[in-house]
Amino acid sequence: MNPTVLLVLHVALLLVGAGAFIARRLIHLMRYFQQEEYDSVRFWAWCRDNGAFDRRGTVVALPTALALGAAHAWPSVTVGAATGAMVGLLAMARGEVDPRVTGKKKLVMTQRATRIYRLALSLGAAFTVPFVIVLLVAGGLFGPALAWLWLVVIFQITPLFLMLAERLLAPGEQRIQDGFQAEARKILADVHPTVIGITGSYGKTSTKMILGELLSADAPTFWTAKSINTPMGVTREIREKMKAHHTWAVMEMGAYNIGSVKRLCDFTPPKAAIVTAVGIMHLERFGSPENVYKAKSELAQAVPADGILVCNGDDPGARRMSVEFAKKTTLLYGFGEGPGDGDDLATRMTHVETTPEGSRFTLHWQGKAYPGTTPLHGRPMLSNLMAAFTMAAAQGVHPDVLLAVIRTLRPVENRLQVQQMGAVTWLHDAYNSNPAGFDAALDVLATMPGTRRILVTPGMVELGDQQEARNREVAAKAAKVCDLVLLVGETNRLALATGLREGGAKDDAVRWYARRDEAFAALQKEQAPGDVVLVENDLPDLYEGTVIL
Amino acid sequence: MKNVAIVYGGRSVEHEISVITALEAAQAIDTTQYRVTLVYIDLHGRWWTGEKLKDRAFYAAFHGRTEGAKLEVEEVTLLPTPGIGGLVRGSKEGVLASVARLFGGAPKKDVVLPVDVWMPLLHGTYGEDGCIQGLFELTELPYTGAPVRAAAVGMSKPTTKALAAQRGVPVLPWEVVEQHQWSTKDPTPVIERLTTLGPWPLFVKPANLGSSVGVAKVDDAPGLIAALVKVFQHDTQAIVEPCVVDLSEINVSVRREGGAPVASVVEMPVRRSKSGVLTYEDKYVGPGGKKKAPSAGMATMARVTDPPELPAEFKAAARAYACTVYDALGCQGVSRIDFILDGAKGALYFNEINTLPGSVAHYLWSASSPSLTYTELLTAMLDEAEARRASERRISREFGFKALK
Repeated sequence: MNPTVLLVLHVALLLVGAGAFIARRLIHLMRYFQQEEYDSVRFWAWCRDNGAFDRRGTVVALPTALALGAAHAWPSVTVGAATGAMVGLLAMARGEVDPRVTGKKKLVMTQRATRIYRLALSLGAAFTVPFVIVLLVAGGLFGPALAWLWLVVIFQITPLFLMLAERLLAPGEQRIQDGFQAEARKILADVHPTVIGITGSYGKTSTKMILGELLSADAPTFWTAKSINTPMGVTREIREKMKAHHTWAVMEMGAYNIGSVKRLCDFTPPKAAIVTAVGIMHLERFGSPENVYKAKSELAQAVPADGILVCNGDDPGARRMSVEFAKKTTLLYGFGEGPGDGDDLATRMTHVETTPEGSRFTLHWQGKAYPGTTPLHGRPMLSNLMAAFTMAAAQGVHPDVLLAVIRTLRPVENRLQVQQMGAVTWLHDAYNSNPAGFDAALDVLATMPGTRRILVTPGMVELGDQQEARNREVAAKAAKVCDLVLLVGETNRLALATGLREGGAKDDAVRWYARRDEAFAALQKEQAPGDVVLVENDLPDLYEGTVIL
Repeated sequence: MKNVAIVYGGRSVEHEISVITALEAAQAIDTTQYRVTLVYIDLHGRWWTGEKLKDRAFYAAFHGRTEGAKLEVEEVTLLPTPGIGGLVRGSKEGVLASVARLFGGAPKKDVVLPVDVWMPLLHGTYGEDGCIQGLFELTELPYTGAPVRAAAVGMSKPTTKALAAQRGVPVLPWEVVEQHQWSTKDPTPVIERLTTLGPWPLFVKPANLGSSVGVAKVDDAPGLIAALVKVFQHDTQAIVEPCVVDLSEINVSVRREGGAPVASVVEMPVRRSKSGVLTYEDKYVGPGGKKKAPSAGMATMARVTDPPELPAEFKAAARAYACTVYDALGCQGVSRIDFILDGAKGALYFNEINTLPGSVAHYLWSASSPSLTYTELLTAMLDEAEARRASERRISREFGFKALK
């Protein structure tokens, strides 16, 4: 056959195989890139920590390159080898994980994701096609081997295409985003609701939802869905959901870095604010506890002097903030067992009892005691309840009305949500866990009626250098409460197992599974009437199992 | 052939029930006499027509559609112009037409979809309360069912109860709470007034909504507060009544025949929830919940028609009272009147009227004697509407123009 035809054929075979494989590989990587919020630094760290270099493409391309190099026969033999390699790459492409249909948190191909993906794919083509052609044409007898070797390089640097695409698209994304934000600012100015900001290391989403329900009893209330707490998310919520009749707007404000709460406050200026806690969550992002405090106090600073500041009196950091940034109305809430013995608490909760249906308690507010009940479980949730109560009461809603609504609140999904499934009771606490929340969930688990108490957990993450110690601590407590513990994933495996052993758990009462669905499958087989199962925390796919690329 | 426009859906919590009622009626209507146009009012109040509307699966897809998705239905609108003769297409001018116009083509006229009779099958707000009836009045075309006054009065529970009581029909005592009387800053005065109604439990309802949304039986003051909070998220008035403990419900349908009201057989709905409130699910979703066969609306509800164990005097009293209330409001078409039976006291109370009942209460008329099929019932309603319009035409509408001459 004509050597030119063979050459074109070789180029075609290589590009079809490589194209199909890279197209699917980029989709697969998009999951992790999306879960890291398109943050190249965090995505790169994830790639590094998970040894996310390519195996499945290289295992085809590298032997092909070596074989072609050894044969260095040009050109007819090589087409046979290239055909085999193409078939191999197509098979690998077919076998590549599709995150749009698998995994706990599926890849959502938003417009932005689609833009990044398409550009990354184009970049991949730009780095492959010319090089391959030049090598094949000008590379002489070793041309084919070098072309396939180049493909190995491309496979290894595939994640970089995503990062590069994101970087190239960033200015455009910013323009689009700025336009949306301007639109949201206008809506907010037209509707002009009273904005209440909420921040804290934990409890802010639950507090937001409870406060939203409480204020809705008074007048139509807007609040951001789920745990949306970034300018981009808030922009979208306002554009889609804020209506002219909204009197109140409850905004969760996430402190991701120094300045991020301030940016949110400039966007949606609060008249009042709640600070739930200044803890050690996400410590690695801030560097020091003092920086965590600074980041959160941006909200307290943004409240005008005649505004309302509600702080958790059980939390030293929030308490300090209430002194440092005191407003005309500054109110503390708490159980009164921490600093100050509760004398200075505007709202205090006593006589807390856990029942299978929820909690019973007495709230003290302005010199009066209000006995109440709620379907919510656990002390952290009751603390959030106090935060919301204090704010709503300070805004003038009568305590009787608030307690009537509190009695009928629906549990927040996956935040110590109790569900009866046949004769088995489930406690879903899969949302982002923290030491206080984990501890409280174990307390609730201990008080639930049942025969056998089972814990399913991957432990807690994002606790900086305290991660190991904190996981060990809760595991030691879990050993005393639980009859069976199912550990999930590698991340905290050692710390949890050590803690459990220290707490006195027997070896046959602790099991380990690589993935959550494996643990649930095992539980499904084994569960018996009377079991109470606590599902504590659920880590994104990023943390679970090992990824073979 | 007459053109009948079935108007349904609407900005109401009973939107879906209306869709079910309408699709059923479109099946039942006598197609040898009438050509049906379906006119769907979506949740935002926009009007649509098209073949796709006949497909039950269309509605969920339409509701969940993303902006800009292909609809395959056409937007229409109704202008309040006397003699308009039907609906106007709301569609935009096509590219070809606009190009043609540039070269001096005639401007595209709004096309009128001819309508001879309106058949509103809307439930609840804007559809059963006189609003759309008022719009139909302005078009001077006949429409089926209750006229403006009957629909508007029938939607207000306290007004209807006052009217019924004035005609000697027994009703339970009631209190009305207006939104401006209710304050979340201080709920005490309202709560104190309501507790004078009698011992707990009390029954709380929105005063101007059909269906079961916001209805609650409450056992204490916090429960009462929570129920009022809920009502004022949906309505501007709450009605509170003592709660009959040993309670059964009796429903009767009434229509006119030769000008005089006639009552159907009675039915007793069967309740499944423990709360003592006939829930939305009881009424419309049917036994076994949503996984079952598609809901046929009000006809889905578990019920006993003409229950043999119910003493004849209660049946007779319910039918007589029902006719009295129907007449007092000046109703037309098919209404359903609901009563409460206090088993302990052996007392019957008028509860509420539905001037546009779910499934047009056809299941009650097919069980009555003489029995009427759904088709016959709809034909009778359409005939009645046209006869009413004919008699109203005799009234002079010449207003003249004198003062500004």
